[in-house]
Amino acid sequence: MTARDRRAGSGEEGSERGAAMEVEILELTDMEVKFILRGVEPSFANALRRAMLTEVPKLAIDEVNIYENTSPLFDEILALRLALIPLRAENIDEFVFPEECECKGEGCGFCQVSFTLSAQSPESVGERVVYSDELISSDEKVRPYPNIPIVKLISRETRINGIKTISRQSVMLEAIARLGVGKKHAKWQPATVCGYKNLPVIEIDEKKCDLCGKCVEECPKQILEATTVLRVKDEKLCSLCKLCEDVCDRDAIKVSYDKNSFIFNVESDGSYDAWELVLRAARALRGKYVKLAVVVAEVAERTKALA
Amino acid sequence: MIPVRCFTCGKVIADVWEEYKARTEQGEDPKTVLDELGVRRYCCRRMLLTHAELINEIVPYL
Repeated sequence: MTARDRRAGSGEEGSERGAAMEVEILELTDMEVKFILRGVEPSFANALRRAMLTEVPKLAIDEVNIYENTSPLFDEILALRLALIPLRAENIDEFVFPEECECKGEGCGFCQVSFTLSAQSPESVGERVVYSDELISSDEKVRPYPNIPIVKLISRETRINGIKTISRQSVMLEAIARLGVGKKHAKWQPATVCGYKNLPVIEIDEKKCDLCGKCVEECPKQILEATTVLRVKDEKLCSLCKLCEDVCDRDAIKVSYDKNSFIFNVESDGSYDAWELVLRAARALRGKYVKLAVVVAEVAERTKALA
Repeated sequence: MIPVRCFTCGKVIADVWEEYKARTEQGEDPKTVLDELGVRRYCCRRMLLTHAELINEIVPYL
């Protein structure tokens, strides 16, 4: 299913309930999406934002068994660096949380993926950088973000009792990735930048405006233009600073915002495509609403029974 | 070693470090290199701009 199909699907659902929620996509790349969400309450926009940050599960390295580490980095730093590498899993839906797994958290193919890393510095004097690509996954559908330097291994000459030798460094470890959510640790947070602002509304009273051009100069985003009339080039760029309002002596310009429209800016860390992240967040939110509805219905039933 | 992610926003920045380093050493302006590598926010830019690679200096004392 492509992004477009999914969008069409969600549109139909909205119209069924007579809701006026509307999504307009401004920019869409693999890692980033910018869209306008119209006709929703601020609480819903914030719920969606929080869901993107904390409710969408992803895989991240959670446990590292280090068998050998003679690198310049401490074991802890090595483990920290590994944990921050985004893991992209095509089969993410097949994984379950370790707490909910049939193995009761012991660890099995359904709740964890293991990576092995074995690297040694060159035989002669020199150095080599170990990259995230060198992590060998136990599941070929789970791949680490490419090209991240993990550690540098250095071979140097040392003398022992006057005899020259080459001392080499090596790293040998096993890393275990588990499913988690951003609530628990930032390494499980699939969105990096994720925020919104209200859609700016700029009203210009042409009768009052004398085209003095002060507001055009004052605007830090340079979105105003005065030719024969004062015009807004792109109001989405407005930062609501209201400097134009302050500088206008005739009160011809008024800056406000639409309470129920939001410009979202979402950036994925690389573990999901940006559009998929937004959809998964929306789905997570729906799951929570359904759960709430069930609980409310149960409470209503019990109170009725009591009465 | 360059931190894997930006301290502030969490964007992965380690993957562009080597290209950034090589290109700035060639005399290119860090501004244009960062722009071309897609490092837009100033939080991520400072990660690369101000990074000091100290690992080789530690090695003799290991």
